[in-house]
Amino acid sequence: MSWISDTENMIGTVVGNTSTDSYQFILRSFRAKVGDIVATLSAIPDDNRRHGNAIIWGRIVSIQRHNPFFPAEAAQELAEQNLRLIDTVLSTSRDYLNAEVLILGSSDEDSKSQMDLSPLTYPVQPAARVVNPPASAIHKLLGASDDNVPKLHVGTLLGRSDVEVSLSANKVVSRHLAILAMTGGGKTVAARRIILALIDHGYPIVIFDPHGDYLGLYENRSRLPGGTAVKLFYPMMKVSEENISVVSDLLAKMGRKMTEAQHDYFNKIVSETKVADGTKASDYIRELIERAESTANKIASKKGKEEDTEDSPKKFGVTTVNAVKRSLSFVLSTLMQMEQNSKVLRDRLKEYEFHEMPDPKRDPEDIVGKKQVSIFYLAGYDHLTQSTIVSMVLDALFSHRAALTNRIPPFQTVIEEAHNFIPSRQEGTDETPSLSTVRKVITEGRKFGTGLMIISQRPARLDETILTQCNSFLVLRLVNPKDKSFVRSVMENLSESDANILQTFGPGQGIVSGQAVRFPLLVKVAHDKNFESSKIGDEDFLKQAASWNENEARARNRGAFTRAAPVSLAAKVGSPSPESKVPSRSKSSPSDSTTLNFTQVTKRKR
Amino acid sequence: MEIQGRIESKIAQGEFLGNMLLAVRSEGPRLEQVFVEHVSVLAERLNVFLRANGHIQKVDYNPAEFWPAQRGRAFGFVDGGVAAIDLPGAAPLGIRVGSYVVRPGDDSESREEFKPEFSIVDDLYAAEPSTYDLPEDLDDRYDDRAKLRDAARIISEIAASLALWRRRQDIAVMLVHGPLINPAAPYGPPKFPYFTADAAQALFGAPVAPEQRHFVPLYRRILEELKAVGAPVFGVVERDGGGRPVLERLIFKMHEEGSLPEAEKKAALALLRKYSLSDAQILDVVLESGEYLTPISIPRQEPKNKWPDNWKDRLSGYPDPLTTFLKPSETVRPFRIEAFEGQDYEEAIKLILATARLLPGYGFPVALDIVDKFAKVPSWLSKGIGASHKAVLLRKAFETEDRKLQEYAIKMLSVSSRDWFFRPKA
Repeated sequence: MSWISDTENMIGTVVGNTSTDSYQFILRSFRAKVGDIVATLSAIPDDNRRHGNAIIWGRIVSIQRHNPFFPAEAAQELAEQNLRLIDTVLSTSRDYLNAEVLILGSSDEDSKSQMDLSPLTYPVQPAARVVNPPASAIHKLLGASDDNVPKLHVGTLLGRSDVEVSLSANKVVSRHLAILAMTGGGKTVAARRIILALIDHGYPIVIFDPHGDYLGLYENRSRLPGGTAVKLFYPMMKVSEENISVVSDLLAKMGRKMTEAQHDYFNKIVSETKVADGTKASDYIRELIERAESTANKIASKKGKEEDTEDSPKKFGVTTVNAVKRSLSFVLSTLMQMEQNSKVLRDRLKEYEFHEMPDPKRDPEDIVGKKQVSIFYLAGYDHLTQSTIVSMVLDALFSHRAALTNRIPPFQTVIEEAHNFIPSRQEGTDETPSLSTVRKVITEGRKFGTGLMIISQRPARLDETILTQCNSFLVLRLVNPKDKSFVRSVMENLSESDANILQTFGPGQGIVSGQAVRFPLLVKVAHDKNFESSKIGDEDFLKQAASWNENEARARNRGAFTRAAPVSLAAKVGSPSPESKVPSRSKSSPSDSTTLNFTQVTKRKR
Repeated sequence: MEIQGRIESKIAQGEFLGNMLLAVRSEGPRLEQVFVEHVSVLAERLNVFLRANGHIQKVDYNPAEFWPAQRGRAFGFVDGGVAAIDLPGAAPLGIRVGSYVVRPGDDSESREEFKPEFSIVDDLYAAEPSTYDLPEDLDDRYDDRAKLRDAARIISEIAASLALWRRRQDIAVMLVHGPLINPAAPYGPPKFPYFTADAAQALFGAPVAPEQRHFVPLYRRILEELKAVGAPVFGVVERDGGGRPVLERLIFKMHEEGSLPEAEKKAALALLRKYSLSDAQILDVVLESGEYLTPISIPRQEPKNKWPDNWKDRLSGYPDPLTTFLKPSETVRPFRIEAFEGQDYEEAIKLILATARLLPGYGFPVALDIVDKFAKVPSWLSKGIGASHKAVLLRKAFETEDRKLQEYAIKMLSVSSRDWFFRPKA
């Protein structure tokens, strides 16, 4: 007997009006949950005016539970009298469960190995039996039997730990994936799972990691498949002839707003200062400052020669030059501060070996390679600088792929905290250099094997154009109404009931949808605890505060000059007698010396 | 005819009503005041009278103590539902009587038991005893189908109570939704059909002799059996049927016992009758929360002058119920409770009050509401029963090859007799 006609698998009966999109059924108690995949047998016509049985697959999107035997009035009395329902004659056993099913499609009743899902073209038969399919049948439905297609194992179906869920690896690396969840929803866990699945395939990965969420991959690299290399890079802003505009961007965004004259002067010194490829941005800015200083000196000494007329005060006044110099100095000090911050953060992670990031243009092979994971640890830098770095790296790598230089293989880029790199227009997109780069990569990346994995906790703040280019989504817990409605607007096949369920997900629970799966699935993402960093994670701030020790010297010197003089010192000054002690404040009376003195002073003033 | 007589005659024919309403409106406050005063006098006197003679009792409502004390005891509730099938012919019926037995405080899976004790989807009656056959002449069928249906419902409910008691003798109190004992005389006129053998057996739970398969003797037999086995069964009546049988019976009884002088009896009855107020209406203002009238035996089969000749001997022996009214709370009307004579009622009254207080707004035992919903025949099922019944009836008619009978069957099943099918033939 086939599983579809086995009465043991029956969980309910179809009721009411049915359509080709959905149906409802009365569910037997405790036999299924929201998100479960169910099946029902129904006759559908074929092209030859005959009809045959087909399995109609669906997913339970909501269940309404109603106890018609429990009047609300009774609930009120139970509450008023503080009674337990079970102690009275009220009934608890006659729940009425009405489940709504979103139809996924139909398959042949007698499919042996793989089930091809076709759109349903004829409504489900009312009063049909609804069946809870065995794991093997769902496996076939999910295409698990097609072993030749590379897959990325994500986890299991939500509530069905016996059914594993995988994404189509090719769809993820070529058609992009967005992982969206609020803080604590499990997006990093989900991203790490997919990264590990890609690592299993030896696929090159580049991770932009602002918080060090993925450093655990380096720490636990010995657990990765043999031959896998994990490299940690810290950012270093470098300039070359092509990206010299980076400095003016930094100046425009970090420094003060320049006047037209200041702008002209800045352009002039930039054009006069030669830059070697790979020069550190801070060194280059320092050179510019020196040049401005020299100009200022020349103006000040008023000894400019005729051939230096362009620098002469006739064109640029000392105020203009000094203003540009001050702006550059400010940018330099900010940049150096960030470099310092980055260093401090890295120094805390002594076990990790960080390298200065290679020049992506000159040495892309150092970043992208077979079985290589490159993690750019961006902590310590502000958003603008981080965005500039992402832009530079991604732009260079993409150029290599697009120009078919054959220097680097296809690779997957992971962008954490994506709302900082690809913000929506409302967030002020002109300040984000990475936006245009990512836009280019995501629209053209499909052709060149530069897939993106975008991870964000604030979907509503992401650039809509970029997000709609993601063909697959893994959405975990989302509560913010704006985020939920935005996700619904960009995910074509997310139903309203699916959107409503988003806020009920626990950590690691989510819905995966798009081209990477055959139909939207509720999943429980597998948690790879072995790959969490032991250095970075949820810190216990309460404990830290409780055991906080103030800087010893600072504590020792607190009040060195502000508190009352010690007795020995007071004795040397000689005002109170050697026997007397300095009265404490608590012992002071209205007639003590302090009060008297104050009164005297006041009187004197009068 | 004198003028006044002519006016009264005209009013009786429906004339002058508009003018009368106008007069009532202008005289409204005065009439209203008179009404209020009258009812107040009635209630006040009745209140003093009932209390002085110990006819009002009180049961305390203390759910925090009551419910834990019931832990592990079984309580049963019975109600029936009738399918709304409007078909002519052999009294087609869809009746389901359900029971709900619950043990408060029991957290096991066997705490609750819902069971359809009795269901009929059938022709309940045959033209002659013990046969399903269609009668020779369909026109001879008993016409008052509402009576047929009522009789079936009444007897099914009490039969289900008997079945439940036979099955579950651990039940401490059993409540039936509706009167425990109904008047049987309305179901005994000539031509009122007999039950089929199967139906009678299903109702009584054992084969029934042909002459006993009529409503009047069978209903009595079931009631007597239920009383004889000592089933703690109580009828709880949701809706007030009007009339003052309880209060009037009380006054008569006290007069008969010599406790109420003739003049007082007459005055009391006159007061009660003046505005045609019912027992429930009067007791609503007399009783306080948790109070009930001391149960009194009420003859349910009266008046005797309406007894059908065939069943006089049977009707004279019917048991009479002990009847009371309980007012569950200040805001709801009292409802009627019936028990067999000799039955200990105090425990049941406590249960009825506690379960009624679980519906504070509606003021009726919640478990009877539960079993009512369980037994109710949903409209989709009624439609299904109707359709199946039509098909069976037609098939039987066509099996006879009697053209006249076939036409008659079609005519009965059609919505209206003025149909193209029945156009006069040339």
